[in-house]
Amino acid sequence: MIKLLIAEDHQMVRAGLRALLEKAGDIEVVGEASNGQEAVLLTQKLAPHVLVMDIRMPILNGIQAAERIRGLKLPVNIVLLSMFSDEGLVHQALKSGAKGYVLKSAASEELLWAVRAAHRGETFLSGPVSAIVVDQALNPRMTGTSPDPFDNLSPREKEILQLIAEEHTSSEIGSMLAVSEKTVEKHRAHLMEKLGAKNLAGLVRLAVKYGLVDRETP
Amino acid sequence: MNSIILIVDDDPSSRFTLESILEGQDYSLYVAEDGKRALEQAEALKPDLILMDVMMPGMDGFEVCRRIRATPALAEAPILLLTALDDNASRLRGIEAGADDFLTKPIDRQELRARVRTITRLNRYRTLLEQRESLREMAQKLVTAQELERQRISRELHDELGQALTAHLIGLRLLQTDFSSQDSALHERLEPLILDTVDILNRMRQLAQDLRPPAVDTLDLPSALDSFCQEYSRRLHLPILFEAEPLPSVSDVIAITLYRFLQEALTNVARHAQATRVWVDLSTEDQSVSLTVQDNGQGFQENSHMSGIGIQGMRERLTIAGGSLTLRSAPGRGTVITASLPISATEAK
Repeated sequence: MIKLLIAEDHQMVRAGLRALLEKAGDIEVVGEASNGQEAVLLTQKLAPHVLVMDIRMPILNGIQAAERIRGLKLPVNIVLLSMFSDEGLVHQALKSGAKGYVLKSAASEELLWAVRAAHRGETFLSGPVSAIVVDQALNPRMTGTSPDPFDNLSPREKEILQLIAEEHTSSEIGSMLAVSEKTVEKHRAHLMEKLGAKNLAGLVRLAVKYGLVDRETP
Repeated sequence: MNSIILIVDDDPSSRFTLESILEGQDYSLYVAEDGKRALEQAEALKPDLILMDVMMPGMDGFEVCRRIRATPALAEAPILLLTALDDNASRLRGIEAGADDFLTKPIDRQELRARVRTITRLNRYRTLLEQRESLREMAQKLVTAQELERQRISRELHDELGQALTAHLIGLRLLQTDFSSQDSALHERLEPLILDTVDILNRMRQLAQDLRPPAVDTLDLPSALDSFCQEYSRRLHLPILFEAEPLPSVSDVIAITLYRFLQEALTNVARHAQATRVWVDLSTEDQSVSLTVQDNGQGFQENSHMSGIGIQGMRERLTIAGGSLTLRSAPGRGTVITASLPISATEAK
């Protein structure tokens, strides 16, 4: 038997989930929590094998509760339930250590598969959710940096590099670009890091090399 | 509209003199012969200037002055007191009573006209500024109310209708499982009902999601912005580099305003910029939070088609929230657009 805890703030849904899960035959519902905090406490107390938990809940939401449970190193596998298949939610949910992500509209057979998979320590995701994950894997976030460090500079950094090379002070540059002196300093530090310059003279030399200023410019 | 001037003097001949000096110069002139009537008239007229003699029987000019300053609706009304020549004691009392300026009797026509013109113009300008500010505040309240209403409806859809529908769906599925062994015809007939319910649930979810991005409610602001950048980056095959400074927790209004700003700014990049790289920075400084979106695309001549890419709308929304928008672009040099919002103006929830 799979010992299971349900965490769901909506009473009707909780009752429905209990009926659905108990009907499966191989699952025993050992408790019900109505918010994230309660879910953490009951997980500690009842030591279920699997926790089925709604993401949107009061006090602690499902993702926060999952993170806390992972922090406490409790030996439970978590299946998160959500109305949404939002990318950010999916990403955070999986990062929180959840084994399953099931959409509420698919709460039936799919949920049972997810619970059994989680019990075996495997991952199960609803169709639309796995589509997102696959898409994320196939088209990873594009961070590609160019081999030429100059291409990696943002327009603002290029502008600031040029103004530095033209011998403007940080406060002058700040008022020209309507940003604070502190922001200019920050950009300058970024520039030195990105371009591998050790000091201002290095930056100026690179600005000349990239053609941002003429050699003759005073 | 003419400036309204209230003349207060107990002496009919000096009232007449004052009226005749100011007549024919686009002022609406009203007179009061004593302090009591002056207060009544002032409350009714909300004059742009009160021109008042100090020496009056009963309530003198100083007392009227004090009472006007104590009336909230009139507290800002300019008061010009008429005093005897070189009466420094009266001037001091007048200042204490709240008068704005003094004119000595006998009255110099040119000087009176010049002073009155300056004061009424300034007062018009101040009133205009006040009205503009109160309009902005009203617009902000309206936008906040609208945002709260969207949030409320979205929550209601998700937490009440969505949950009820989910419970309903689970019930239908349980029912279908029960019938599967006994009555396969009934089992079949339940199927379209279940599919319809799933469809309704999906449409409702989409509606809730459009009203209010779920990421803003579940994740902290940097994570919500980052996940949006990620999604966009993959959808457009465009590198978007996201950086965020550690951020104090911000109000809901700030979070949703910046999230929507990012959505619009990235949509602009996708539509117009032909960029190969985008930088998104979230930073804080001196009680304000800024989100900057930069691209290395084709850029444009500032002021050329700024209205065409919805910059005006973005600027308006930020101004209403008490913030500002700055934009820099030049052909071939990409675009830098920044939204800044004060953290203190909208108190954190």
